Parts: sequence; structure tokens; C-alpha cells
Amino acid sequence: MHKNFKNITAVVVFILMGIAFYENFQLMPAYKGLGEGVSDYIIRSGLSETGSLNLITAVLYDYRAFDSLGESTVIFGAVSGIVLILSRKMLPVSSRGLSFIVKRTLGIITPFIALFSIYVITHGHLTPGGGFQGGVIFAAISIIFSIVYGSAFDYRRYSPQMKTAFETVGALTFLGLGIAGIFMEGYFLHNLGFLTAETGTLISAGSIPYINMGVGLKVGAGLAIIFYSMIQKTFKEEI
Amino acid sequence: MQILEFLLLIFLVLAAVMAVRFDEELISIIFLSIFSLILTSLYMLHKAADVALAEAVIGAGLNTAIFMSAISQIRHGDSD
Amino acid sequence: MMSWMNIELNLLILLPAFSAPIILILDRINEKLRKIFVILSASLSLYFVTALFFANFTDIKKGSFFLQYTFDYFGGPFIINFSMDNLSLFFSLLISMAVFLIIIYSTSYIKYNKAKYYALFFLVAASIQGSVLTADLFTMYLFIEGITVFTTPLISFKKTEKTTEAAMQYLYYGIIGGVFFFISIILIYFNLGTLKIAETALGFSEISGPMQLTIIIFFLLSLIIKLGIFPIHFWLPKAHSACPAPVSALLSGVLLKVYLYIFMRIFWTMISFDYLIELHISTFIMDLALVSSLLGHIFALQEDDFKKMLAYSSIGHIGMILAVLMLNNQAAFYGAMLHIAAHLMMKSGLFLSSGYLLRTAGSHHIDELEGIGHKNRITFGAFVIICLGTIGMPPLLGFVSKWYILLAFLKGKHFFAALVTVLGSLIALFYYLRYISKAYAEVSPELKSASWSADFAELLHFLKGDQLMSTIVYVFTLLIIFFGFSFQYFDMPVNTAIIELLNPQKYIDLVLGG
Repeated sequence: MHKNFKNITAVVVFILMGIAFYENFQLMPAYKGLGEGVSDYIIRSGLSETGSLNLITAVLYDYRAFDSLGESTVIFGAVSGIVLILSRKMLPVSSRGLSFIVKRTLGIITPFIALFSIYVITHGHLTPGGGFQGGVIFAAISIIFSIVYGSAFDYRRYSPQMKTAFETVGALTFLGLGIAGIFMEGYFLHNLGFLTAETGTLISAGSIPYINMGVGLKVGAGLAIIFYSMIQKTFKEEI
Repeated sequence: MQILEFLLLIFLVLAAVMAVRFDEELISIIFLSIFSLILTSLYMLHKAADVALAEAVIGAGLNTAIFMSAISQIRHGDSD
Repeated sequence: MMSWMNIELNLLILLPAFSAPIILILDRINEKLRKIFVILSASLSLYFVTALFFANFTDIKKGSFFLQYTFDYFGGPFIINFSMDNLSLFFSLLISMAVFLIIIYSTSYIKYNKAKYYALFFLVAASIQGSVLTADLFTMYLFIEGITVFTTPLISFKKTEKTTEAAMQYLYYGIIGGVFFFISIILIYFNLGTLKIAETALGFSEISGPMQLTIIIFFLLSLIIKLGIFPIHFWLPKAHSACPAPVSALLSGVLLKVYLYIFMRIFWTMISFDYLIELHISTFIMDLALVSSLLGHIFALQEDDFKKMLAYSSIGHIGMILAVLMLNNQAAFYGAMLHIAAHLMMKSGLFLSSGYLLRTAGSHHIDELEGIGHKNRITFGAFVIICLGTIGMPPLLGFVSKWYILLAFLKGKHFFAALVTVLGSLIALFYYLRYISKAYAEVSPELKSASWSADFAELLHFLKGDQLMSTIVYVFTLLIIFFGFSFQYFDMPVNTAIIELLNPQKYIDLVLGG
């Protein structure tokens, strides 16, 4: 009886919430509201101003690059925080991993995953994707390694210190391009004009590809560090 | 197309409910991963390739791995 | 094209943001280098703001001071920009001063994990400056989110069960508040197609009535959670008491003022305050804030944990400031601004001194504080003076601000509010006295320090090691005493800031007119 009552209350609350949200979103104007604002401007003149075929990347790393900088700084801070809270002194040494077949298969696939992530990062201004997505794929390689080969393998290849160095280099690349924007174009994070080339080629769209690379390094290393500091205790008992 | 979207939406809700209903954490995480995959295909249907890529990589890939490591942490804690 | 003029605005945010990764690198190379860099970076940030203040002194006095920095493509709508008017300058100055002093304090307080601590601290400082300076809603949301994410690890810095719990609770409520803020931003964007505060202010009247109400309510919910007003206040004392003393000072002294600034920016500049009056929300918030103020003081009275008591007293003061802001007239703003400055100094000073005093005591519990007044005579003396300021004793800054708030309430014929203000002071007197009398309790003579002359001899080495901490406490005490006698120095900045609040049209014209 008591449990049923709880369930019914939960369902009723959910339905009421649903109705409230539905009513609220009914109030929202149709698509025309967006047609007049900033988004319309970006759709009209995004390509000519930034030279990036992928308008989403153009918004992320040019028009609102400062917000992207802030977001990646949030990741940077979160990584520092997680390492601060979860840091333990002992080393994770587990080299058992999974079976031989899985290890071999992964060995063959890994270069292709890496290639894919590099493709996603460097073609961020031409095709869907960009620094953030590619960086996460990079981190996924590190995660798969520590699952399949055991965490000791990944640790010996790329130590946490090295990952932190990668992350800092990524952050400083982003900030450095911003400062370069001040000196060469007059505005922080302004697209660097002298790097612009023919639209659609790999090295075009000003500083966007380089910002992509910086973000990719930062996100990849950062997420790998997060995963790494989370598994640290897990493998302690398997020494 | 409309039918496909409708079906996907139903599966999306089902996956979400399943993820909440199961007591076993591992199954919940798998259902969350399925939820992300369905969401990815929905984004693709709406031609939002960028968001779809991010959702696939983060929602289906990274989130699952991090949840798994957290679960294994909890289980090891129990055995201590 | 080159806009070197206003580049300082950008530097105010970028300098601390840049410092964070550099600190992590320098820590690998040389610890001494890192220490120098931390102090250098903190003092440079303070220098930039004060330089801005003195370079534009005549403009500020005339009330025509306005700087803005735009990430601009010419001809297009504004993308992101930062702007600084008198209101932001007032907050920016106060915040930079407090952050500088807190960083100097932590150089001798924090003993381990220093590099990560400073990196996170500078990121928090950058987010605070950013949220004060930004003129764009999404950037503001980003900085608010940044503040929440960066302070969470600082709260659980000690890595005990209690601090982790407090940090998780802080994170949950911070994120929920952020989500409410974000919902409002999305609704504004869908309705107006812009995220700039000035353009939103122009177009807000075109939004349909129910939508306006929804937007206002979500903003209010978000800020009430962030400010720790009564129904959702319970995370605040836990979070503010769990962390190391400098972080407590930052959270209680600085962050709450930043959220008050955001409150003013949103409900006076962006959404005209007339909407709140029209919808009868302002009286509701005022009652809520007053209840919160009273409850904060009463909870502080029964709290046996030293730092929790200070945090509850923060709830009381913030509620009072929010209530007086709701009166929406010049006298009320004057009292509120003055009390924001006063509370920033007093609460930072109290938390910092608590950190120093608790070094010698075993725990935060009231029973452990016995005889602490005999051990550190001068620091405890400073603590008592700041306490008196918080209660509202005449020659100190706290009295002046409380007096103006009381006058504003009486002028507005809100006698219940005036009663709460007086009652709050009275209760505050009791709960501080509880601790002070405990601290001066008679103890065995060997616990007392040798003599007063030895204490004063220690004072002379005020820049050495541990003495640095008490020196910062003395600085806060002297500031409170000094401004208590000469609060007219606050007259000009406060009055010009109030003009910005009363004439939101000026800000809109300046931002949009470029």
C-alpha cells in the first residue's frame, strides 16, 4: 500500500511536470524568432567571414571562441580538481588485461582509430566534428588500452605527467592563438587573416584548424587523466 | 521517415525507462549507452551531424567507460 | 581597428586564466619560481583595476565612465563583448582587493597540493572577474558554471568524508541553479534571437506575458539557490565551513557578492524592475529575504561549530541586503552597496582570522576554543573588532552600512524589515559574545603566552612566514576601522554605481551605440 502510494505520487508529479513543460514550450514562438537574430547573420555571412565550411565550427572557434575557451577551461579546471581529490600515491600495476585474441585485434585496429581521431580534429572546419569530438576519440584509445592491456601498459607508454603536459600545451595553444589575435588583428581570438587560404582546402579558415588541434590535445589528455585517476584504486588489489 | 522517427522516439523512451527501472547497475549503464545510440541516430535524422558525433563519442563511448570504472570501484569497495 | 584602449578589460580575465596553466608548469620546474609568479599575478590583477580606476577618475566622477571590448566583425551584430560601467567597476575593485589579500594569505596557509590549489584559485578569480564584466548572457552562464565547477574541488580540499559530502551537495545545488539560469537564457534566445544583455533589455517588453513570467521565475529560482536564501539555504553553511579558511573567505566574502551583482544586472539593467513590481514578485522576495535573514541569525545562535556559525551569519546578512534592494530607491541602494562592501571585508576578515585561530585550537567546536583569546592576543583582538563591526558598533564600517539600511527601511515605512535588521544585530551580539566569552575563559597559566611585549615583538616581523596570515587579518581590521571613520570615500563610487542602477537606459545606449 505504502509503496504503491509512492509510485502513484511519482507518476502524478511526472505527468504534472510534463504538462507544465508542454504548456511552457507551447508559448515559444515559431522558428521565425531565430530568423532575425544572430543565427541568421551567421548563416548568411559565416562562410565569407571565417572561410570555414562547417558553420558549427565557425561559431565554436571563431564567433564565440571566447565561450569555447571558457568551456575548455572548465574541463581543465575539472581535470585539476578530480586529480586533486582522487590523487593517490600508489602506482596502478595490473598487466593482466583481456585474452590474446582481443589484444591482437585491438593492436590492428588502434592505428585506424588514431587516424580517425586525427581526421576528425584536422578536418573540423570542413566536415562534422572538431577538436572536442576528436579529442574524446583520442581519450577513448587510452581508455581501451587500459581496459584491454591492463593499466600498466598505458601507464608505461604515457605517464600522467606527460598527459598533464599535453593538456597544458593544448590550453596554452588556445590562449596563445588568442594573444596572437590581439597582436595581429586587434581583437582577442580574432581569426588570423594571413592563414586564410582557398575555402575547402585542408589548411584554410585562418586559425580555426590550429585551435581545433589545441582543443583536441587538451580534451583528449584531460579525459584520459580523468579516467586514469578513477581506475587507480580499482587495480590496486591485483598486484 | 516519419515512421522511423516515431519508432526511434518510442525506443528512446523505453531505453530511458529501462535504465531507471533495473536494479542492477551494469544493465542500467548498458541501457544508458543504448539510449545514447538511439539519440545519435535521431540527431542524424535531423541532419545535426556535429551533435550526433559528439553524442556518439561522449554518450555512448566515454560515459559508459567512466560509469563502468565507477561501478567497479564500488564493487571493490564492498569486498574490502 | 586596434582597440588598445580597452584591452585591460580582457586582461582582467585573461591574466588569472593564463596564470593557471603556467602555475602547473612552473611547479614542475621550481617551487620558488611558482611562489613568486603567484604573488606577481595576483598583484598585477589588482594593479590593472586600480590603474583603471585612477586613470579614468574624472570620468567616473562625472558618471560618464564606460569601457567596452568587443569581439567584433564589422557590420554584424555584436558577438561577445565585455563592458565596464561604474557598477561593475565598484564590484571589480572590491573583488580584486579581496582576492589579492586572500591569495597572499593562502601563500602561508596552504601546506600541500599547492600548485593545484593556486591553479583552481586563479581560475575561480578569472570566472568571478568574467561574470562581473561580461555583457552577454551565455558568457555569464559560462562563468557562473565555471565558478561552481572550480570551487567544488577547493571545498573538498581536505579530502575527508565531511568535506566531500559538502562539496557534492554544493555541486548538485550549483548545477541545478545553473540549469535554471540556462533555461531562462534559452527562452530569451528563442524569443528574441539575441543573447546580449542590452538587446534583451530593449526587446523584453515584446515577449508575451506568461513567457516573461516564466523567464523571471527561472532567473529568480537560480539566483535564490545561488545566494542561499531561506528555503534552499542548507547547502551553504556546510559548504562554507568545510573548506580551508581562505576558500571560505572567498565563498562567503566574495562569491555571494558576485551573485548579488548578477542579481542587480539581471533585474535592474536587463529586466526592468517595474516588471517585478507589476507581477507582485518584489514584495514576495522581500518577505522571503527577511525571513531568511532572521532564520540565518537564529540558526547561527544555536550553532556550536565556529565556521558554520559564521556561514549562517552570512545568510542573515545576504538576506538583509536582498531585502533592502527590493525597496528600489536611492537610499536603499546606498545602504545595500555600502553593506556589500562592508560585509565583503568583514566576512573575509572573520573567516581568515578563524583559519589562523583554529590552527591553535583542536577543532571548530565551541568547547575547544577555550582560552584561545589568551594564546593569540592580538589576532583575537582583531577578530573581536571585526565581530563588533559585523554586529554594528558605532565607529566601524558595519555600523554605517547598517544605519543606512535601517534608515532606508524606515523611510520606506517597512517596520517589519527595520525590526528584523535591529533584531538581527541583537542576535548577532549574542552569538558572537558566546564565542568571545568562551575564548577569554580562565585557563591554566601555562597556556597563556608570555607577555604583551612579546606579542608586540612578534608584530614587528609582520612579513615573515606565519605572521603573514595574521598581518592580512590586521589589514582587514584596519580597513574596517579606517572606512568606519571615513566612509565618505565610498560616497562617490557608490553614488555613481547607483546612477547606473536607476538609469538602465544609459547602459543600453552605451553598449549598443558602441
